[in-house]
Parts: sequence; C-alpha cells; structure tokens
Amino acid sequence: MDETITETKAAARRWTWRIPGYVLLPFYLMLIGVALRYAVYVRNTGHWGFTDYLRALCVYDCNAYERLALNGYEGRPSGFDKGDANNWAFFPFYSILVWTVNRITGLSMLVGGSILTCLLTVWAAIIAWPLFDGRFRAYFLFCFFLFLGPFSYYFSTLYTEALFILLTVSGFVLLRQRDYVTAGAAGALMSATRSTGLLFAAAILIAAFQNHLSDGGTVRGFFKTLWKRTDLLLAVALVPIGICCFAIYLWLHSGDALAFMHIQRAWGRAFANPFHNLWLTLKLQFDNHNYSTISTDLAFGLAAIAGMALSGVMAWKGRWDWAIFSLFGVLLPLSTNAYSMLRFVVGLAPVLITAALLFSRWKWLFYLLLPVMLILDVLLLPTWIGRSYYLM
Amino acid sequence: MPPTYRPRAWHLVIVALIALFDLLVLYMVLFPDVSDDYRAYYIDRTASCFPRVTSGFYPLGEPVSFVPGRSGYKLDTIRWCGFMPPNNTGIRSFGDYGVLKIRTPLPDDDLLLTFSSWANTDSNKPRRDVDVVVNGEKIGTLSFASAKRVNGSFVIPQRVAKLAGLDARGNDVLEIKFVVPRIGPPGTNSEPVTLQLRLEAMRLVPLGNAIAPASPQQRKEAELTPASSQSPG
Repeated sequence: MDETITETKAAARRWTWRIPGYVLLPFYLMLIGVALRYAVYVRNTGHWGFTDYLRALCVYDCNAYERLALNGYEGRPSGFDKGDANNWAFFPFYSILVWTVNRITGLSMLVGGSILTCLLTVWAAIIAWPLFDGRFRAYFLFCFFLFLGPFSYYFSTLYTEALFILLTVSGFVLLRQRDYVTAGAAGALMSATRSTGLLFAAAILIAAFQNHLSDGGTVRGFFKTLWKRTDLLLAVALVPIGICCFAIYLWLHSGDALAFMHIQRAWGRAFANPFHNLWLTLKLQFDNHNYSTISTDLAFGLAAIAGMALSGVMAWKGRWDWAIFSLFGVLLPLSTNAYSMLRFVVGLAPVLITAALLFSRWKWLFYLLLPVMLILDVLLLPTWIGRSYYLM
Repeated sequence: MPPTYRPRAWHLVIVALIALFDLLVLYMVLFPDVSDDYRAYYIDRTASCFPRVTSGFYPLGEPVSFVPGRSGYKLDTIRWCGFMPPNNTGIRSFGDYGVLKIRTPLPDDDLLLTFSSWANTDSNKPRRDVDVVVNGEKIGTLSFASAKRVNGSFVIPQRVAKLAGLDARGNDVLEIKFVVPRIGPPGTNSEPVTLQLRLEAMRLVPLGNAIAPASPQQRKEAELTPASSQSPG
C-alpha cells in the first residue's frame, strides 16, 4: 500500500471527484463493518431481526440519547438507585439530529439514529483526509479503526462520538485553511455536543499562532497584530455558544444553568486533581491484591495515559493545536473521575489520527494491526452487547 | 513577508451581540432558581442525598417490610432520602444518613419505633454507631459490632413526634433519620465512604397499642430522657 500520494494543486482541489476511492473507502468499510457485526450477532444469538441487532447494540448512554430524542429532557431527578439522576448530563445536539432524521424519514429513533451515526462517521472520515497529508496507509488505518476496530460500536449506534469526531476534524481542517470564523462555528456545534467542545477555543488560538509563524510571521508580530484579528475574536467567541444555548435551556427547564454539570454527582463525578484521580485509578486493583487481571479502573487509567502520551506525540510533531485540545480532552473528564475514559479517548479525533499516523509508519505493524483490530471487533461485540463496563 | 490582517466591523458587531448573550448566561449561572434540596445536594453538596417525591403515607401500626416477598406494608411510600430501593437485603443507606418520612395523623401518645437492621461491618472492624434522629432530635443510638442483625426499639416522645407540625393536608410529619458514621476517606467521586445501614423492616405504633405496653413510669422516663434499646438479632 502506497505510503504517500502526491497530488497536484489542481488535483487536490478536485480530489473528491478525481479519486473517489478515498471517498468510497469509508463507505465500503462501514458497510463491511455493519455486515460483519450483524453476522456475529446472528451467529451468537440465532436472531435474524436487524432491528433486534440494533437494539442489542444500543446499551448504556445509547438508551439515554434515544430517550432524549424521543421525550426531551426529564424533570426532577429520580433515576438510578440513589434517585438523583436524569438526562440533563447529555448534551442536546446529537439527539436533535436524531429527532430531525426521525421527523423527516419516519424511521424510529433507534434505526434512524444508527444510520445517522454510521453516515456521520463516514462523513468524518472523508473530511479527515486532508489531515493525513496524503498518507493513505495511515488514512486506511484510521478508517479501519472507525468501522472495523474494537470500538466500532461507538460509531454505529446512538453515541455522540461520530458527530464529535466529524465536528472536530471539520474544525481542524478549517483551521488549516485559516478559516477561523467557520472553525469557530464548528466549535459552537462541538460545545453543543460535548462539554469538551469548549476546548476548541484554545485550539483556534494556537492554530492561528502556528499559522502566523508558518506564513512567515514572528512571535512578536503575532501579538502586535492581535488587536487586528477580529476574525480570531469572533471565532473564539463563537465556540461557547452551543453550551450557552444548552445552559439557557436548562435554566428555563430546571432553574439551574449548570445542571448538566451538577447532575454529574449522580455518576459520582466531582472536580478534583486529574493526576490524583489517575493515580487512584491505576493503583486500585493492586491495593486489592489483584495482580492477575486488568480491572476496568486500570483499563480506564491506561486509556487516559495513552491519550496523554499521544497528545505528547502531537506536541513533538509540532501540532500544538491538536495536542492541547487532546490533552485537555483527556484531563477534563479525568478530573471528575476515570470512568468511561476509553470512550472519551476514542472520541478524540486528533488522538485517533496521530495513532494512525504513528502506527502506519511501519508496514509490518500496519499489517499486524488490521487483523488484530478485526479480531477484537468480533470478540468484543458480545462483550459490548453484554453491557461490559470495560468498554464504556 | 509577514502576514497582514485587516479588522472587520461586522466581526465586532457579532462579538458584541455574543457578549450580551454571554452576560445573560452568566446571570443564569450566578443566580440559579432551584429548590433548597436541589441546591443542597447538587450545588452546595451539603446534603448527601436528594429527596424522593413520596406521599409519606403509612398505616400507623402496620409493619413495613423492605424486603420483597415478606409480609407487611409494601408500598414504597416512606423511603424519602438516602436509602436505595428495596431489595433482598432491605433498603441500603448511602451517604451520611438515610431518612424515612412519614405523613400521617398521629395520636396524642408516644410512639414506639421498632426495626430490624444490619450493616456492612464485621467483628474485626471497630464498633460503628448509628444515631437515630426524629424530627431533628436524637432519640437513641444503635451499635453495630458485627455483621449480625440488630433490632432497634426506641420510644418517640409525643412532643418530638409532633415537632415538625402539620403538612398542608393536616397530617403530622415524622422524619426518622439514621445518621451513619464515615468509615473511609473519599474516593475518586469525592463522596466519603460511609457505613451502609440496611433496614429490613420497620414498625411505628402508638405506645399504648404496642404488644408489650410500656408502664407509665417508662413513658415518663421516655418523656424526660429519650429512651432507647437495641438487641442483637
């Protein structure tokens, strides 16, 4: 497989038309992935119903996003054993899209939402292509991970990962094109999808700084001309709009604009030193004298370390906008506790892209990873359907 | 050649509008319009549980079973705050306390509160004391020195029982709070680790109707000093 593909400027402008393979690759892999997992489901359960398969795939937060699309935000918290949970923790943009698909097509939230997620992932993969600088092998690995990797179910059922990755890669592509205002608008949608979308404001400023230097400017010149950068000011101002709209809604709905944050107490989340949380998570199973297995806590801790390490790789490669976005994308949820760290790390597009760029440098590793990911995809599917905390 | 930039007025106009919008959001963040129990639990974190909306109905004198399948009054109407839903081990407390809230007309008599309980402790651990507080007044203490069941029996003086006054429907309100000790430092969720009290059954009966009625002398003592007793099951 070619490592790089050289394109002329004219071809680059038309690459979506001239090289349909790059566009179609995610489609093919998505279709193969869906068919494979469906086959595994049929093999394991003996059920042929495709909707049953989608239902089986829809575990944990998927149900919350589905109910959110169906019924909107709930009233007084009463969920979980402690009676203190409801769906205010779930950001609205993804469920709004699912609801819209339902209204337009008449498909159920589950079916329409699953299709939407798959298509959003395909779209994200296509848009991400310029971020690979023509390295097709890395791009292939990235697409393979999304559609046939061990966490492919995040990208085929009602979770926000697909949308968040789409918006993230869109934002970073726009930053590369120096279209800061549109990138800010993408950031606004990101912050309406997840709280970590707010971090994109920092990425905008860092990207602008780096672009200034790469365009022949100086550090001093950047700060000297900052007062003229009304585009940057607007871009950064745009990013929090999504979360602000959600806060206004919650204030009107519940009386608490920060209800999305406060309700996290039901999930045992409270702000603390993320590194202390990481340390507690890493040592917990050894405190309990468990030296034979990898507990969920350790798995979450290792995922956080992997996310931070890959952020370091980004910084080393000079992609500071990616690095800061990803590092704090790990640290922010980690500061509340380590639960679901796997999902949060997998939901960070720069982490996936950097990993793909890194691991595809060696051909043998690339070819080794493909079957490994495929086997994990197949093996982990029943684990996911069985509601394993590991994969959350 | 260093890049040059040109400021644009329409950018600033939109930024100004966004700033106004942000001010509105800031006002909403700074001034939440929430109930006291919401503020205490979610915002200030001074409460360790968020109350359920329950009727508080309880047929006075009936035994309540918190274990599914056992005889007794079964409707989940008095579990108010800090207790998880009934299961095979009863209702389990979480946080610093668990509260049962009863709304029922009370007679002009002392009440006898009996219950069976156990806790997640054993004889290798230090003795754990659980305070029983009714309408804000402590009426006794339970001690858990092992994993065995502890049956509590406490007299609630009429004065204490009527302390909370009447609700809008004219019912007396009785708030029975079990205050459990903290047994470990907070984990990654910042919540302290507390003793988990497990209530299996409870009964509240006017003292005069109790199976072994207390003597007038006992009732007088109950009025003067909150009486309490407990027996290992």
